[in-house]
Amino acid sequence: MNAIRGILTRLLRGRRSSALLTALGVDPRRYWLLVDLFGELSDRGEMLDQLGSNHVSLKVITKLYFGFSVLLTLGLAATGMPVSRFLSAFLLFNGFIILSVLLSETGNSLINPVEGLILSHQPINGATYTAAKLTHLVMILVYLVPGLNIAPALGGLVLKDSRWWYPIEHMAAAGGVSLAVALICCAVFGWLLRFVPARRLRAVAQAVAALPLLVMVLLGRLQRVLARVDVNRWIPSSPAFHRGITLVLIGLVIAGFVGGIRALSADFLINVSGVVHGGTPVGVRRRRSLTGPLIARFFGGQTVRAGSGFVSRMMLRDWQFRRQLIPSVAPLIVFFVTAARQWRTDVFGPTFGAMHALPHLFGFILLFICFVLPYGNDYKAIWFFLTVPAGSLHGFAGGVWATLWLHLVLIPHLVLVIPLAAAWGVWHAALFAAYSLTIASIYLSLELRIVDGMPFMRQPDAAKGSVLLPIMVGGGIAAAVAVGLQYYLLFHSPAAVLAVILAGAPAAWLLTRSAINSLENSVRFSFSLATQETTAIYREIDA
Amino acid sequence: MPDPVVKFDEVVFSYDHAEVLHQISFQLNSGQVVGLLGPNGAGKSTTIKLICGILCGARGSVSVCGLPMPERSIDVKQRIGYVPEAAELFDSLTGQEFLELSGRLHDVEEDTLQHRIRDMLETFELTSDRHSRLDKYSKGMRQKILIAAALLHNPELILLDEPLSGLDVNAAILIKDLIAALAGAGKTILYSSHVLDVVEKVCDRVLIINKGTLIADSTPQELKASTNASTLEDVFRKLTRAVDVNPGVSRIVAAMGA
Repeated sequence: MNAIRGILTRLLRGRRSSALLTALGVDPRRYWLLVDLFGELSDRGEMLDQLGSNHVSLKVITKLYFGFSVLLTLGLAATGMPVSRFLSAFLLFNGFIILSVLLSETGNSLINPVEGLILSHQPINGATYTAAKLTHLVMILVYLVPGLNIAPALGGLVLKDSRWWYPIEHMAAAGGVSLAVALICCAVFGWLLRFVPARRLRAVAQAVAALPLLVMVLLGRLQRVLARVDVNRWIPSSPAFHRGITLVLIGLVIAGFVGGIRALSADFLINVSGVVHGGTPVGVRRRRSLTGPLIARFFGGQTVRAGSGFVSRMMLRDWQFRRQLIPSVAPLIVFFVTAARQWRTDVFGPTFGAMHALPHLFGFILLFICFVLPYGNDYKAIWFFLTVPAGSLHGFAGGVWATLWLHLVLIPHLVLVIPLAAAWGVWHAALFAAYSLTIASIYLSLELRIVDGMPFMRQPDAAKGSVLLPIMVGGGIAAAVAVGLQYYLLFHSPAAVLAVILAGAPAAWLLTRSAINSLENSVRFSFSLATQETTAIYREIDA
Repeated sequence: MPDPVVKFDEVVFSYDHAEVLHQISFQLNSGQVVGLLGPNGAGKSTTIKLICGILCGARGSVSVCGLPMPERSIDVKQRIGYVPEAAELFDSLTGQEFLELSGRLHDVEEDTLQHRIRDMLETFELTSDRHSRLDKYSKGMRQKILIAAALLHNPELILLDEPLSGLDVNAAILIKDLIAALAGAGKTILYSSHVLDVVEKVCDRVLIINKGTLIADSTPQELKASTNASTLEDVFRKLTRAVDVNPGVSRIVAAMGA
């Protein structure tokens, strides 16, 4: 194995590949120095938030996608579809997954380049640095493409019109599509870096990362809109025109690729300081917090307000937190699109509607938030909390709960009850809002227990992110079961709903008290770990 | 007369439409130690970043070592040593590894590099910690590593942004002596700091920037004479029109007692 690795290293770092790199404007010596550096940093856990540099996370995700692809292969192969359709379906699936993962990764790697700041005054040209950073995208493909495609490549052999070489054909096509997707991602971010002002870059990058999910969710609607617009009416039918327009489109796509990649490899390191620091506006608009005084008054004083203010502001401003929340956008959009049509359907009526799912949607979103809450960009600022009196931590933990409950549970329900009262009548609207409020509060009190440490004070970890998908799937299934049960067992009787509220509200209160204690303990535990580490450091140096 | 090592000509720089440098012009000549002073937010770090090619988009012209910036920033980065204000380092690397990385990125020949690293670590009393991770270093130790990294490749121009930050007294004395020795060896040094008595001792010329405008460019002696001040600190306060700090002090003490 070592001999093979040695031969590969000699080949890759040999004179010919160096000449190729030089021809592309990449300085081979510094390129390999950077590749080795990034590898070393990832081995030592310093680039945890980047999937391409974290082989453990990549292996976990690859296994997950392999599992999905096996299920999908079995399902599609059972239908006996033609091999060409089977291949197209998997190429689409592969392209979508690779696009979602790479858009997020490219954004994280290029828009949040902490190591770029350290290296920015070193004599490294933009093409060299970009090439080294993009090497880790290739690493993602090396893992994910086989994980996604080995099962369908072999499974395709059982289809009646396939030939013996189908696996080779399938893997080659999947590799080609994946490489094209990787190039698209690089080109997209190249254009963004060229044209988007530094202070807007992070927000735009997040919107771009959410695009595949939005397209997937809204695909059905888009198809309906396109079907209504008769495009053929506007396009001349002559074959010459069609050939011309095809050539123009191909030319534009190639120019887009080349231009984007060139923009990306232009002197990136000169801009990196602006990208990292320019992401923050010169001044944050001062807005008087309306809920801050309320929280201090009704939830326990200034320490509660401190926790609430800290968490609410960081949720809005922390780039890593917002980035990790992107996958939760999809179920929210699905719900809003469906609820926009069905919100007038009374939950106490005979028809099933989107509003039945509302209490559990809150649970789903809160699960997501609690899962990513401990991770943030400014995790090194944990020292500040080590200087806080230990007695304040209970209030602080209460503030974390209070801000989540107030902003994400109570206020949305208060807003919701007004239109619902107009559509369903006051009694049904108030009863449903109270029920949903109770269930969402119970969800929050249970889910707060997974916040394992001080919010925003841990380095983002791609390995943890890889667990998110099964949690989403599991949570979705559990929520679907709960929605079904409440529809069949509860909503036919307002009295039964009232009984659940009367029993659930005290339960929510008790669970919340214990959840706040649990969060306080988690925070204390994370502090004790940090303190032990600090003491160990000083002991080691003193020795 | 030899070409200036750094030449700023009518340089204007803005962050997101907020202009932070207004038509700044100055030159640094070979072998000079020049102090760069100014209140917080005056534009000192921006000036240094423009010189070392990690910011672009300035109007006017900037040239470093006779090369136009930012067009020739890669060549310029090869010739400068920069100690940034914030000690950003790769925490998981050891001191030795970080210095090796920095030297290799600057194409320093391996034997020379190891020799220099050994000398630097010994001088900065870091030899016994050279294989410890940088996250285990104290602030002063990290600062020493940054200074060593900036000098490893024998740069022509050395940019020091608060280099004494976190250093103990002995190390601070060592750096001050080192600055004088480097200037004697023909290096040009731009020294940005808020510690004015140190600037007065080590610099033979001082630039003062206030609100993005260059308001003084002279020797400390000339500045003291022209403003009738006895120390550089007084010169600074007069030129930047710093308000009397005593009312502010009283206000803080009163507020703490409230």
